[in-house]
Amino acid sequence: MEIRVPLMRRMYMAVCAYVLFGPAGYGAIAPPCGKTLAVYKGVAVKSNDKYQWGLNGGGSCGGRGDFGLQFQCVEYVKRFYYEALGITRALNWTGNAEDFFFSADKDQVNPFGQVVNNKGLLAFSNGNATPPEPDDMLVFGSTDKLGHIAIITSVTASEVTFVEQNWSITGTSTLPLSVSTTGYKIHDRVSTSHSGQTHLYTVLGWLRDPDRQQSCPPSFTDDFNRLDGPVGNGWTNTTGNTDGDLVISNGALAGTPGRAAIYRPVDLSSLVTASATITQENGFGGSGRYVGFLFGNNGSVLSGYGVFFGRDPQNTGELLVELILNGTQLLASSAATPDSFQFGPSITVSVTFAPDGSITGSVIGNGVVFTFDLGVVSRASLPGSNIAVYTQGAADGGSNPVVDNVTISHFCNIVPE
Amino acid sequence: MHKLFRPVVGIIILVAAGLIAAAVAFPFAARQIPSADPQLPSLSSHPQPGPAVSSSSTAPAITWSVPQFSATLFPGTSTTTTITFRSGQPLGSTTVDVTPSLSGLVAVAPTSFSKINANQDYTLTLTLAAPQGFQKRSFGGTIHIRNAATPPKTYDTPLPVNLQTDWNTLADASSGLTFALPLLGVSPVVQDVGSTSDSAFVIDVQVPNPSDGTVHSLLRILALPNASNLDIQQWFEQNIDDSNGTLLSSGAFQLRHLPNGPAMVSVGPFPDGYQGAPVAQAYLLSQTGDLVYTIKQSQDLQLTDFGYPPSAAAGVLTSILGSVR
Repeated sequence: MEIRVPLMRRMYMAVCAYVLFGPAGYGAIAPPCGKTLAVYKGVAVKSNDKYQWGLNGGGSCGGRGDFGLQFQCVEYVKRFYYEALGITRALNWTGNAEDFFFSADKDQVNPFGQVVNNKGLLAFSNGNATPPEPDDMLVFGSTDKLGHIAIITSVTASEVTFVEQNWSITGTSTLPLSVSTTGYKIHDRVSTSHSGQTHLYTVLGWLRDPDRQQSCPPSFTDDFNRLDGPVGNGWTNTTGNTDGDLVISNGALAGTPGRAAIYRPVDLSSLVTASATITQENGFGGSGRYVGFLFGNNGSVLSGYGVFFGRDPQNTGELLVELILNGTQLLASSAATPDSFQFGPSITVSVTFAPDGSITGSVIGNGVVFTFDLGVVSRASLPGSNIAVYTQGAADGGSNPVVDNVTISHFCNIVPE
Repeated sequence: MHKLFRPVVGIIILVAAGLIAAAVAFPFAARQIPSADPQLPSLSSHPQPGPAVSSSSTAPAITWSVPQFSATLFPGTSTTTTITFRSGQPLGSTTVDVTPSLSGLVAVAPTSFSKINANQDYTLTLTLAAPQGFQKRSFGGTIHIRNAATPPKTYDTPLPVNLQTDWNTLADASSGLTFALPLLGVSPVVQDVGSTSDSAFVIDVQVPNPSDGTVHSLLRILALPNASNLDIQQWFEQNIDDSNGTLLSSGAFQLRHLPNGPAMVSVGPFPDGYQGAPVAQAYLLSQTGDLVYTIKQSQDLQLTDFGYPPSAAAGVLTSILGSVR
């Protein structure tokens, strides 16, 4: 027997059912095909309807569009790079998500013998010294070697957040990020089965357009927030320290009355920038006090090209920036130092040492920025391949320099794999 | 009212009634216009200009949009398509019948019309379903229009229908596996990459993209280890489902017996709160019990590129898995 329900009553029943139980069936969680789940830089992440997560045959609810199968993960990254970043070659990119990583900068025959075209991108393996950045593609590998791909939207010291199609129902997800002395490692995507077995989507790394303007986040940082004592964390005290070694004291690098330095290996074949915060009682003053960086240091206290910061006259004068080679002053910038530069309780110094030997930098203190350019120096005489942090303390018995928050950065686009 | 006006008013009322009736009838008539549903490439409907068949001089002439309807389907799958017909004369209540030889294979909708207007197209939706067994077969019959009254009378001419099941059999020399693949109109290539992390081997089925001829991955068959020889439901629970057992408890995956063994098959509905990784269409226990075969479509090229609607993919993939030997 057919049961017929008047239209108004059917509508009323439908509304009541929705209020009581919410939407039912596939629509309960997976929004309709093509519905926006999230938006990043104006490009919508869309629902793959009942095929989300590979269910129901892992199809593509929107069929084939300009950027491929709608709405697979690959379709979004191609559409994002085209629409948000203006990279028109994205239209022609081929392959599954995992293929993108291995064909980043060359045509690649994948393990199945299929030729996947060159994406013209820089690839950074997970754990690379170059950190992931917003707009990078985040590529995952999987057992089936199809993989997964997403777009990074933000990076903090401990997390990477990204947008993605055909996985998270919100179109966004976050993974932990570990930072070590060797690089940045995004944690694999792990799901735990009912019995506790783990299922992995391994983070292969991140991809970046080489022409994109980028910041240069540090490849190494040290805030010295460790227990008082030896410096550690990859640093070694130089030989020839005159009044003992540098140590950690109260979460910072404590200088000595005399000359002392710590060093660590650094890649000087590319542009490298070192920066630090320097503090001292009564401002940065006193007799013969300096802090600086030594590029090409060989493990002895004054070797290499040193860029030192002090003041001239020593106790009350203007900022002094000196270029030192193996302990001998080559240049001093005091003449260029503006009279208005006044030391506050601390200064932040930054020095960039380029492959051609040029040295530039800045000093920020008391709300004023002072920049300097020491020109080109020869690279032929670099005595070593380290970078050193140098301090020269209070010969007059006063307080010694304190160094904190050392960072070392390389030019972002120089170290792709 | 003056007597002279009474016939005029009567005419006006009749005309108005006729207009109202036409206005009411028009929307329903408009719905009979055939839709432009895509058809699978394996469906063949042999269109030709003009009436396909002519009726006898006494019976209304039923003409079909195609002179005969043929379809080749992959075993175990189904699809829908549309055809239209028209009559040279107006007809009363009619029914649409499918001969018993196509019972269970071809269903038609609608199955009746209250009336048929002359020279107007009417759309029929055909649902075609191929049997699961991997045996190449051919099924013949007709679809015919007849009057709903008694005695029943079939109007000339019925539409001949032919349904076949057919496929390619592919072999992976490395693993020794064979499996069936739908006829796609292109030559597939099988590549075995051997073992990967967590898999005994992965087979890639590659085909030329019909749009540009470049070879792309279409689907992958994985052999996953089952070292403890668990039954397929236990294996699925331990290796695939999330920590809450969402896929099993929601019924998104259910135990099915494919021709070659038990399998956990994606049947929906979409699971609330699923926390796990992407899944495959189905997971089949191998006959030796130490492996689980699964199948996934590529992200680069899919069955939709060969004319299959997205909704057909699940059936095709399950059937392919059901053919693995």
